[in-house]
Amino acid sequence: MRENSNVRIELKNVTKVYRSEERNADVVALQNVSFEIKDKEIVSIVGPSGCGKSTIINIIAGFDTNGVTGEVLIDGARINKIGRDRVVVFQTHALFPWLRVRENIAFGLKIHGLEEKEITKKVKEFIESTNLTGFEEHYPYQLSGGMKQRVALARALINEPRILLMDEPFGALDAQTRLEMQENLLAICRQLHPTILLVTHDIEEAILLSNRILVLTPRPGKIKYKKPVNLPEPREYGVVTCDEFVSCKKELLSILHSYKK
Amino acid sequence: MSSLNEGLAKVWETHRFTLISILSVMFVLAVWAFVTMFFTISALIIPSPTVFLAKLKEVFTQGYVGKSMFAHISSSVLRTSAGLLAAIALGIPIGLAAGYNKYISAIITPFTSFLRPIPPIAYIPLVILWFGIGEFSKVSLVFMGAFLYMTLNCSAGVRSVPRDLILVARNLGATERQLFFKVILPASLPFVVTGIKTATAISWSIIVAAELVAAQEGLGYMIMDAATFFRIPEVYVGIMIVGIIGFVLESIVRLLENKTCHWAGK
Ligand SMILES: Nc1ncnc2c1ncn2[C@@H]1O[C@H](COP(=O)(O)OP(=O)(O)OP(=O)(O)O)[C@@H](O)[C@H]1O
Ligand SMILES: [Mg+2]
Repeated sequence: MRENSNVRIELKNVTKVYRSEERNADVVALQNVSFEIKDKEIVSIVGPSGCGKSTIINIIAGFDTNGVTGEVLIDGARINKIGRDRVVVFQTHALFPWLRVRENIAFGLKIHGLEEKEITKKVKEFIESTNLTGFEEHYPYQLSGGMKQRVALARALINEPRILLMDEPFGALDAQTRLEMQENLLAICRQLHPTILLVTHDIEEAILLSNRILVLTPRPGKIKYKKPVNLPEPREYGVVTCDEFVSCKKELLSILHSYKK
Repeated sequence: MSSLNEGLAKVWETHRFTLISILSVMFVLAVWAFVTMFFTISALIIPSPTVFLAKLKEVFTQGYVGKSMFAHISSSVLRTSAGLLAAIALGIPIGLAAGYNKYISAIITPFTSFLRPIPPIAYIPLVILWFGIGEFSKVSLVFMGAFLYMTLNCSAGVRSVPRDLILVARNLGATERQLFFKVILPASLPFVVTGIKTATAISWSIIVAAELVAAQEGLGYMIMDAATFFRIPEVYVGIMIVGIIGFVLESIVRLLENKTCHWAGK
């Protein structure tokens, strides 16, 4: 086992096959994917639709272990099941529609039998940091898309996961709301410093938020390119006009463009 | 004058659908009154509103064939409730279990699929054969009809729980037990309540049908008896009471639905 304690997530030659009932209909979704993500790093995955981005998230989360070969290591140890140390934020927010905002956020703490007083205190804190004050008693159907996604984010973060796995978390939002969410995420990261793996189809979002970007090929997904992003920290929206940002964007666009036939 | 117009416009704006429904009912009542008043139709085919109301008053003050209206109504309602409650109490756990566990589902599906297209009233002769014409046979008939719908709806409810919600709960560390009680059960609730709603309507129609065949009291019995002795206004009165009580039962379930499932489908 590797002694580099700084590496949080490591994939070694991961291949994933979706087995099908019918003969010869198996789908190879990922092929020999290897990468490392260091502690507190924010890494984005971009690539054409259907290349296996969600599959990577599901494998690291431990949702899907069938047909996976290769090694997935968290802090040097092989994962074998779902863990609360790696929390997923879905594109479809996946809030519990029968629970109020504060109950949704408290879900993970309740499951673990934290004291009621402690839960109330922490929920209040996370409601404030995600700008949801005043909406504690609302149900998800009474919220806008951006608010729902903030509730989903708070519900994940309140468990203080060391790893946050985000699958196109802002994909369903309009440009303005997405921008607010990105800033919100950056602000939260400055406080909690989780390691983040972010799947996105928005190249600007990937550059703005991450330290490194992994580009996948069309199916079967392989890692085509690992691009470090050297932008000044702390990140803020102003960087989108700087030279590094623009050249980075050009480079990624030309790679993704070459996939189009 | 104009403020009156404005007021009316506002009432129309907010309540127009209720108003249209009221007008529609009033129109049908008017046609009824008109037809019976101006055409010579025997009260044995369609009684006029006056005859109908007089009969309605009569059965409520003097009862029908020696039993008060309250006795007829309460015996129908009690039979329905007994069968329905038993079906709900058993159908919910069995249906949920079948939705949750593929083995349980494989055990019961052949039976539910086979029984589903058979109208419960078709069992009346069998039930009489097995249990006689007492209370138990009627209650068990209601149970058979309602139980099937409860089971089917509850298992469909479990299978409809979005995969993402289950993953979120597992991800945040829910045990199997917590997953069931905190996610699968509440997420299936709208289906369970729909099951209760359908089962209630079905139970009510089954009981009336069962009482048509064999009973000494109850609304179905009253309708059948009145028809046999050509007391046609009483037949109409009986049918109307059946309709009103069915409506009340449904409203009660709808109240339950609004209370527990306001979030569904939004
Ligand atoms: N349950 C499944 N069974 C069979 N094949 C699947 C399954 N899930 C995904 N696939 C296939 O695996 C490939 C990768 O899917 P995945 O969802 O990871 O893509 P993605 O990169 O997230 O795409 P998108 O950008 O559209 O979300 C796809 O080509 C898809 O057809
Ligand atoms: Mg995807």
